[in-house]
Amino acid sequence: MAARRISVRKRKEWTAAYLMVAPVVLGIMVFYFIPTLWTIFMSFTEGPDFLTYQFVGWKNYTVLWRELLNGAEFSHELVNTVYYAFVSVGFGLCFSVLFANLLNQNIKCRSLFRLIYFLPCLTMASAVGVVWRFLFNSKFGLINAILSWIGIKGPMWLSDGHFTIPSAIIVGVWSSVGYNMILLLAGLQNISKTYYEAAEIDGANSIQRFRHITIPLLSPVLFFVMLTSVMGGFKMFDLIYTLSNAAGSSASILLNYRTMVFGIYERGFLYTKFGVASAEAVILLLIILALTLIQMKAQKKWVHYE
Amino acid sequence: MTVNAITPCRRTVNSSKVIARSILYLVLILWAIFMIMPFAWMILTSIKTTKEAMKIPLIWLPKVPQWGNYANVLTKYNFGTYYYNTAFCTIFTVGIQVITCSMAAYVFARLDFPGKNVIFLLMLSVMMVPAQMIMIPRYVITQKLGLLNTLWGVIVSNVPSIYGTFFLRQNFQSLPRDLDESAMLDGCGFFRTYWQILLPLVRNGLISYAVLGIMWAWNDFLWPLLVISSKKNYVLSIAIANLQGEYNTDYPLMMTAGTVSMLPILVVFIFAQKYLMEGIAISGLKN
Repeated sequence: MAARRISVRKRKEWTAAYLMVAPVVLGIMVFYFIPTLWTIFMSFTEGPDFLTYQFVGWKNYTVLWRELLNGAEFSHELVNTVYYAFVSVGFGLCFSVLFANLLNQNIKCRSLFRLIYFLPCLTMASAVGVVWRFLFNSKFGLINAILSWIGIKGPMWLSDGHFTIPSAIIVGVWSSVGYNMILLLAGLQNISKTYYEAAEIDGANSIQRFRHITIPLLSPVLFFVMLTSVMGGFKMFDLIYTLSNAAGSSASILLNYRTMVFGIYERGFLYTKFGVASAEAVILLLIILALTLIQMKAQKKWVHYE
Repeated sequence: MTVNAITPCRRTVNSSKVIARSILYLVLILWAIFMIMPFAWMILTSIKTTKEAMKIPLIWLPKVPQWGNYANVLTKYNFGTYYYNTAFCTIFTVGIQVITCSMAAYVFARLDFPGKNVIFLLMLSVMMVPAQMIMIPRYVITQKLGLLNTLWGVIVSNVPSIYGTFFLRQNFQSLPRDLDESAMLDGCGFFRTYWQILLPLVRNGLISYAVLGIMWAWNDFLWPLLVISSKKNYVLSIAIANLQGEYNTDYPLMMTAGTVSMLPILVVFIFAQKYLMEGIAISGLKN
């Protein structure tokens, strides 16, 4: 009797569970799991449209490899992506740690500062790109005007190949520091004041306190911020699209902007080279996975969980 | 005497403190200027004429504020429609997402069923895969579903969220299990326990996630860029990129469009600031 009642209850539980989990699981299957496998599969094929294809082995990958050696599009995409991701993550982390710490002091108008620092994160990347393209304009942009007031002749931010990715990095840092700062601020507020008081009694100065209390206790959040920022950097597309005026700029200027996602987009959707685009997607995926694994391994050395 | 001996000492402590405070505020204010300058310039330019926007040397204020630029953007350039489209996509994406993810979150937090671990692993395995990298098959699937160039095409593929499920699962896990058990004893089924007992208790988590979701859905760019091809179905983000392509040098127009696109999200933010901050904080601390 008892066993039977339990099994009826169990069966009810199973039915409820399956029904309630179904929409998400189905969605994940259709829009994530299958597309992931399909992308890997497609990277070994070639065809005139999405569904007619033939196997070509590693050909798509060798196409990209040759582009890399020749200094063609793919080499720019790889270099720009890595350059953008690492430098913007580095600066982004420094600034967000700095300003999270400053805002964690006892200051006036803290919530006003927090609001202002967060504003860029609310703005859509395509609008951000349009606005900064105007600011960076070498003739009547605000930035070069300000530089000229202090006697510096500003560069051609948007067309000089040496300055395009730095421009994107400035904008990227500008628009992401606020979000990470909020994350870190929450982490800082979780650190008990008693640690600092004890350290102060022991005579630790503020740099020592930062180095030996703040950083270790903040390290789990710092690690999370690093992980998501690196991933975000490697996915860069939206901002690049409008900052470069992708719809209206020449291919030679776009070379200085192209990121890997941009390459996937262009190859796949403008030139209908689905195989090569998928191969590039797989490479990017592998890079992200490798970096995540490295960071996971490295975290054991520096991240402290209480 | 003693007073005299102490005062200079205290004064130096104070003055070094004052200097430190001033440097602190100076840094905070400089960074605030850096953060706000693009917005200020965007808004100032939005009420200039095209000539004024490209004047050298720069002018800060227009002679006559061109408020008509806003009316122009909303009517002549159809931003009214794009507002509607963006709001439609945002509301349905976030609405459906919150409901489906919270159901799945409840199941993963509370119920047991065969295959639970397999499904959990499956979700974890694709969690690291960004949507941008698998956009070609996603596009094909959307096409096969007959949703290309529709707003539902933008919505449907953005709804399933592993992140949202895990985010909300935390909230359910923090509730005591006695709640479910007493509800069950009172004869509530699993769905009613979720809907009537637990869901109201995770309200703050739901709102936090919804605010984050609104921000992401409103600003989404690449996916609508792929799915939507006709102008009448544009959302704001691609409408702006399109303006840039067509009216490359009409800066007041683009700055007005930029201002317009950010206003609603700013209003949401001001009202729901607390929830958004909480949502971001939770997403970082749970790891």
